[in-house]
Amino acid sequence: MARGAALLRFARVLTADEHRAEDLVQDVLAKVYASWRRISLLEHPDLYVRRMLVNAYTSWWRRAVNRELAVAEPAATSSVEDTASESAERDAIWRLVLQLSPRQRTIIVLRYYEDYDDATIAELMQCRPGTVRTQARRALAKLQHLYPAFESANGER
Amino acid sequence: MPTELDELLTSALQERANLGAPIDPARLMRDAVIDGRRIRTRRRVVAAVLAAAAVSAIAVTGTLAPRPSNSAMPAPGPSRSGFLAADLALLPVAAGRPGAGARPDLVATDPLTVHFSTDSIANNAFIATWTSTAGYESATVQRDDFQVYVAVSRDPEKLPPSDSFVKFFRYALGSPTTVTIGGRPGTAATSVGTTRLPGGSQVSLEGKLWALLWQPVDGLWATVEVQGQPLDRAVRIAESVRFDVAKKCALPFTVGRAPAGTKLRTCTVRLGTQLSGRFEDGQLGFGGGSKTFIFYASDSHGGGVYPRPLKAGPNQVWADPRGGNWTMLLDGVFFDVVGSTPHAFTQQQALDTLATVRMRAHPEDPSTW
Repeated sequence: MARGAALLRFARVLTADEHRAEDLVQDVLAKVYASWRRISLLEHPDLYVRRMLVNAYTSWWRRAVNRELAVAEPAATSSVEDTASESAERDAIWRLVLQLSPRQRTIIVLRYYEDYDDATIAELMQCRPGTVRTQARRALAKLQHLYPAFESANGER
Repeated sequence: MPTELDELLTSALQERANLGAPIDPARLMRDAVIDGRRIRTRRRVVAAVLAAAAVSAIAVTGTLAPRPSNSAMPAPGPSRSGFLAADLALLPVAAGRPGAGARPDLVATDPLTVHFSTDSIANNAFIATWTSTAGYESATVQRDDFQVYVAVSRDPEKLPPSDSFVKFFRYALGSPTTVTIGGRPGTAATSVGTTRLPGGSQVSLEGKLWALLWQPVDGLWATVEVQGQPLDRAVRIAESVRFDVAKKCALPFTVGRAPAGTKLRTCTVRLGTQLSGRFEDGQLGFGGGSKTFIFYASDSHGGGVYPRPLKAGPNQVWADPRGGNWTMLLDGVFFDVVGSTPHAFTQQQALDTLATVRMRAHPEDPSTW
């Protein structure tokens, strides 16, 4: 039960849309329920369920109609006043994350929110660890470019 | 070592994850279960159609005779919900064993016996499940007009168990009121709060579920949870549970030898109308110390495709190379066998036990199990 809540939080940062997150989680949980006897036999059922959610999210954004949905605009510039507030800073970073491609955002969320290593992320996204590292590097470079305060930060893991 | 960017990203994402409406995981689960049942039924209908097509093809080529059908089994009829309803009161009587009413001390002492009967409820259902395990025995019946969960125990602290509607779906209950069930005093409490239907509208849960608790006889506690009926009907449903008969927790197969160092602890059997036979799935759970070894039998298997089948007596077995998980196909039934950890049991121990699995003479007729 608590895992459902954790899954919804994960979906929120993945989709950046409360309602979409809930729909995705509900779809995934329904599939989990339908196949639980198989999923429960897996070594890491939680990981498998997250993979289902990532797949569902990927399917969603690949559909052309959804690609046309605009995400929130990033802060055009970050003022000194904004950066003085930690909350404003986190909000600004969040809006920058929204500027990443869905694939890059997925990697960033899995790495920084779920704290998975690159091998696990690769397993979840069904790609090679090298692809994860490349995409993560590009995502971090883009964030650094969009947000000058990051310039001095080293995003490599 | 985390960098400034790492920490900022982590904190920003965590903050964002916790924004938004409060999460009601129980509602998430309830809604998911409703949708999940639809998915599962749809899959089974498709699987049944594919299986029927495959059997037809095989029969035509003459390479394998289809499993004999039970001509005595009445065909399920359509129901309002779209599920096929039929008489699922098919578990055989445990001859010579008393019901919980006469011997409450026997409840939950034998995993192969359920010391009560829900036959009058299961006679027009699309799913019926019985479980006997440490501490309690239970039954769930899903029908067109209501769903009911029944559990009995010698210890009121064991009720409701984790597989009950109240526990599994995390229903919040209002204050209990006094009722009379079969001439005995009991309590009734209804679900409270609200839930969101697919589409977004909020509905009250008041009266959607009734949870009854009483002592049918001294030394025995029973709970009956009814979804979809008012209180007076819920009481009548509870009164229809019989405690003067014992039924077998019977499965279409037998296991001749328990895994080394274990004994049978749990039995679950689920009958339904979605497959060609009445057996939907079931499990036998063996345990010893902290180890468990579960036989899960169903129409489909739960693992991946593993190379090089092994032999377990006359049976072929596929082993998960990571250990602790074996799959066997026997007379159309898949057995997924899983140890509590990858190394809880050796492969030889698993194969020795799997070699003793036999299908019953009439696996499609539960009354003969």
